[in-house]
Amino acid sequence: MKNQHSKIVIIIVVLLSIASITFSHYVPSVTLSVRNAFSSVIVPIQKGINNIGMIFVRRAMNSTDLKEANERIKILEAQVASLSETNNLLKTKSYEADRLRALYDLGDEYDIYPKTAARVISKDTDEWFQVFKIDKGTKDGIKVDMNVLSNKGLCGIVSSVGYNYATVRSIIDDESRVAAMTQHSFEACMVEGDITLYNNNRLKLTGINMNAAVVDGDKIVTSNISSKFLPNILIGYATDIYVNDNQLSKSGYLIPVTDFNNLTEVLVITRLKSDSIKD
Amino acid sequence: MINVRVGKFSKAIIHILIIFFAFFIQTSIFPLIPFLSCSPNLLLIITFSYGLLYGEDVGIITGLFCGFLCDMYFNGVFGLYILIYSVIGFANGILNASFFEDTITLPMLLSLVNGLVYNVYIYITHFLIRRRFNFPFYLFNVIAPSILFTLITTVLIYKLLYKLNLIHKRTL
Repeated sequence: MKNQHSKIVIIIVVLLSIASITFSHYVPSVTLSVRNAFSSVIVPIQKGINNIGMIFVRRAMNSTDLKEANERIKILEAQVASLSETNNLLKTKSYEADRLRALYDLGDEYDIYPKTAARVISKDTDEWFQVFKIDKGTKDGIKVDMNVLSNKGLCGIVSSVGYNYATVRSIIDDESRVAAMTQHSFEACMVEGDITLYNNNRLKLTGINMNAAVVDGDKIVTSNISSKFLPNILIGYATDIYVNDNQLSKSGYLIPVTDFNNLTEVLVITRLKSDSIKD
Repeated sequence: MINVRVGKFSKAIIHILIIFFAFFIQTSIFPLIPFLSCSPNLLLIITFSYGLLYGEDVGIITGLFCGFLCDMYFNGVFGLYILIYSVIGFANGILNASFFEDTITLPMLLSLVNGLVYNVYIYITHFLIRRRFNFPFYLFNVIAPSILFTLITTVLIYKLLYKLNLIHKRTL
């Protein structure tokens, strides 16, 4: 008798969830607002737990990393010296470019974007998805489609946003597609996330023109033709370029500059591509 | 009678607190640990353990609750997780009748089977429908590590839940 009763319950649950799946597939706006309300409550708790957790993680890491860090400081100091020299040189060139641009009446397309820093508060727990949440939302001016950077380069895009949190789909997610180009020759290509490649720390590079001069080691940046990504953000380096079987195009792989395993803080560019088009 | 009711009530509260605790650990602590590239699925362990320890009804309710948390928290269509978690809770609950021993073998075996079912379900609902046919790759690189991690964690968590179950039985 008891068996019968729980069988009926499970059938009802299954039917209801299938109905809910169908409903939310066709009307996504309802689930979005429900989730929003739920996350507004959950996110502050997560932030707190995060802080506690980080104390322990940091403590564990600190003791082992100190030696390594000291060595790195020395290397970095040397690097800073050489970089500031290069920077000086580049600044001079940039002033010159500004002057010339003003002469030609061209807008400054590559200025430094306004950014806001955010903390990663949670990730999808399965290996299946590479999606994470950050602790800033609409109240901080975050909007859907804003670009998200790590300290080295492009890391993802805001896919949905709530009052105090935002969901970011990283470029290594299996559903991610980024229109990109090579930095020096402006050859268009497409950067695709693929979990079959991510374990080797790679992304797929597709749609390269057969005659394009793309070689291994080329810097790949976001393209100016992308509708969502702002131009000239570094994504990574091209590698293992090969000609496709159909002899019409080339493909290859991309090694991202962002280290996705240790992502705790990110920068969100608070300007949308669509805004700059309107300007 | 009143005692029994109070007992049931406090039992339910403890269950819910455990689930919440597991959910927060899973979403906000595990991803922060850099050397943990793959994390155990605590909610899955809790769902099938409760099914096994308390029967179909508790299994379904636990699954429903865990699935609801996941559905609320993650993106995509609503109801996918509720479906799989409650079915897992129910299926493991059936085994409750034929299970009395204090051994860890059955839970470990179930952890393997449930992990496989859960991950194949995610593969079908999120990857196969986007025509990703390279199943062997996903099996060895995503599913296998995840199942292994969950298996190891099962040993720890199941023992705790089992002891809790004994305490409950004694108080009632």
